[in-house]
Amino acid sequence: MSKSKTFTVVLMDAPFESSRTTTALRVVDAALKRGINVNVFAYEGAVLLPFKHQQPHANAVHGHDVEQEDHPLPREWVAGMIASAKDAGTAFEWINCGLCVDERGAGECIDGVRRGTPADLWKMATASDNSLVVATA
Amino acid sequence: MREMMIVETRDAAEHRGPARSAELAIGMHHEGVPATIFLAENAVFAARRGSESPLDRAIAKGVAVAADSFALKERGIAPHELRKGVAVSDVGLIVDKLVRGSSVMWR
Amino acid sequence: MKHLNIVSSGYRATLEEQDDTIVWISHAMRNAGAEIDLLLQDAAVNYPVQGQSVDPVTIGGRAQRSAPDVHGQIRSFVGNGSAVYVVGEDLDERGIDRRKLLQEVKIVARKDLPKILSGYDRVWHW
Repeated sequence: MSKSKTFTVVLMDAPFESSRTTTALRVVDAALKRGINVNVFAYEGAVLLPFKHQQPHANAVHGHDVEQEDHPLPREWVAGMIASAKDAGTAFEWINCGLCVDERGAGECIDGVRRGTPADLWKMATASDNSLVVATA
Repeated sequence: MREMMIVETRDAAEHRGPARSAELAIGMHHEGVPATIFLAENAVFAARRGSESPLDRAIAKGVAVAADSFALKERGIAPHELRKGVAVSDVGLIVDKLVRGSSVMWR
Repeated sequence: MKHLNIVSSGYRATLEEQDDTIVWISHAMRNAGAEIDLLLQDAAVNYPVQGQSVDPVTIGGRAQRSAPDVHGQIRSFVGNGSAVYVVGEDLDERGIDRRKLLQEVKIVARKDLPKILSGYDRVWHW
């Protein structure tokens, strides 16, 4: 059986700020669905993507209550990818840059996310088959 | 470097970066590194024919250009409105290129 | 593995972060064993300009004590054996006198970028 490939992806944008985040997460999701192992290193604002305290809200302009608005939250996307990767036996690691977490007060994350350093990024990238940086604009 | 892909997300009418990305792709191709430009988000505006675009020169020089179907649909750009040489694709192409060992640059 | 980090955005959140965070992470990865060079383009080409000085920011009475020193970051990076390339046309567009740059940086023409990039195993654009 051929060995699965592994990619390392760096994200930088905070949630709800840029389309890049959604496009990049679509790429990560597509890779995981193909059985490719993925490491995500979240740098700067991206450490807030798995922030535990994101909450959905209603939308009075559209007359939607919370349930009707059904606002997707990045932490749900991340949690969903963690869960489906686990079910599929694919490795998915999400590391938040520790210093970026500290300065943003973003320490409370969903389960499955760990804190790391640029040395972790280097190690992961070196051990990966390929890597991708999605920097902020 | 075996191959390169540039994922371009910026509107070429607003930024000059996409023109530089196109020139870089042409240059890489000339250096023997096959290049692909993947248009996503507002960069897909350049996929619509009818305006001048450095993409035409890139395509003429052998650079492959593809546009994200999700972004095209989001902006109401139908396949028949695309400029010649732009293929409709999706983010799976980015994954394909990564699997092939391409160097992928996100702009 | 030869690695090139391309830095395009200049002075992005440098006051809050007290560093250019991409030059910083490049340094940190190098400390972890990476063989990394830098390519500066667009606004980042101003980083090697000598004579920059940042007044400490004070907002709401809270004064900053460690102002960023992007020139110093580049000086330190290039002083440790890594190459730092700067795109010449981007200097010219900004009226930057090449004599004002850190001597050790290598000014390159945009047309030479494909050749430079193709010489690296890995290129990350930040």
